[in-house]
Amino acid sequence: MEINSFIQQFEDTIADLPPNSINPETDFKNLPQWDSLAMLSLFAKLDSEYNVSLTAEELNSCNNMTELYELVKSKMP
Amino acid sequence: MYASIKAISYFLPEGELTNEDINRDFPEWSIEKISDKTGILTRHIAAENVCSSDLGIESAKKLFEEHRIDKNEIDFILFCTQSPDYFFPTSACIIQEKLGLPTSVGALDFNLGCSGFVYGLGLAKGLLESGAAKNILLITAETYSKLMHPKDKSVRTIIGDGAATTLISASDNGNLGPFIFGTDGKGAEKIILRAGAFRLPKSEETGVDKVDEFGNITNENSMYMNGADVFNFSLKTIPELVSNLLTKSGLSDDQIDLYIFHQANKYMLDALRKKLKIPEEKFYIFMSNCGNTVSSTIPIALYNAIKENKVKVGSKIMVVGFGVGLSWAGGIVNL
Repeated sequence: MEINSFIQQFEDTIADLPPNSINPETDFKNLPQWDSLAMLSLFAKLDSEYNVSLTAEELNSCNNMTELYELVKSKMP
Repeated sequence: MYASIKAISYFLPEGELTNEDINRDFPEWSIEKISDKTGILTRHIAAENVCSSDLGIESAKKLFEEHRIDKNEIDFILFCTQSPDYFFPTSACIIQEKLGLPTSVGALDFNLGCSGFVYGLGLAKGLLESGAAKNILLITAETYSKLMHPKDKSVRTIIGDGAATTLISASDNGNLGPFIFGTDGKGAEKIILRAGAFRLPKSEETGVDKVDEFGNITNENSMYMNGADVFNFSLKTIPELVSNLLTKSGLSDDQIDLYIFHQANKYMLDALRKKLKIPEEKFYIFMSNCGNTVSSTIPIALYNAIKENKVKVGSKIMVVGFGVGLSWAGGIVNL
């Protein structure tokens, strides 16, 4: 799984995100669309798509999409 | 001779917290956004001088009346709450007296939240099938509203107060079980009221407001819930529980007439339903007028499922409770 397809999945998951608004340096936590429901949607997607589970703490420790991508990749079975 | 559910009634206190009220306190959340996200329109809130046991008592009185039950036939009270009247005496003892039940009843409290009803069914089955009791009142009651921080919108939008009484008696048809239980104390801090008991007594410090990692304002004297981690826990744990329970009971999923899960919030339930591939008409949701009443969500939903004819005598229902502890339990109810 490479970073661009991961970013695509992320964009598809978060409600009201304009397409192509995310790049590897984006800090997703600062997006105006990022709220508690966005976090739950992401968790549901990580579970169904990648069989990966992150804690809220782990998610919040990522400062950009690259770090998030690396973390998810490291947890993939 | 089997243990079976004979009757259910429930009671919601009069006071209400509507989406309009929440919007007034948290104007950044519109009324539509609240009902879309949570599936809840209003929650009921107990008055200041009303305790869980009072709600429990009202639901028991309703049971006696609605279902014409002779309260002198009751020989055991199981009271599930996390907001007792006192540390002691046992609230169930107080309930015995206030309901005018015979002094020959056994009575005890047990401290569980969202998994409490299913655990209670398991306990009742044990008492009944061992011959220790014949007519058991399982009362679930909660007043989490007293434990919420007024500025914590994450819990205020979801939680409601309420109580339910379920009568479990011996029967030749209908039964309860099998059950599967589970516990993970690693998740103890995911849903927690830190201060006020013995691990952390209340102090000036525990009352200091802080912003948690989700931007909610709370303090240690108020309940805290890490909704995201609890969501993850459910996605991981519940599908396994459901499949193990089907195996244990020798049933296939299409033999289950209705699934009634703990009504945590609509988003989590939808995600679980989709992951489990349960069709919508077999997955019961009832929370829009009461919110998450903790241990009473399942009996309240079951009462309404029966009322709406979604299930009847002979139906096989899978009930699944999960949450604070972390604790979980699943059981088969043959009505």
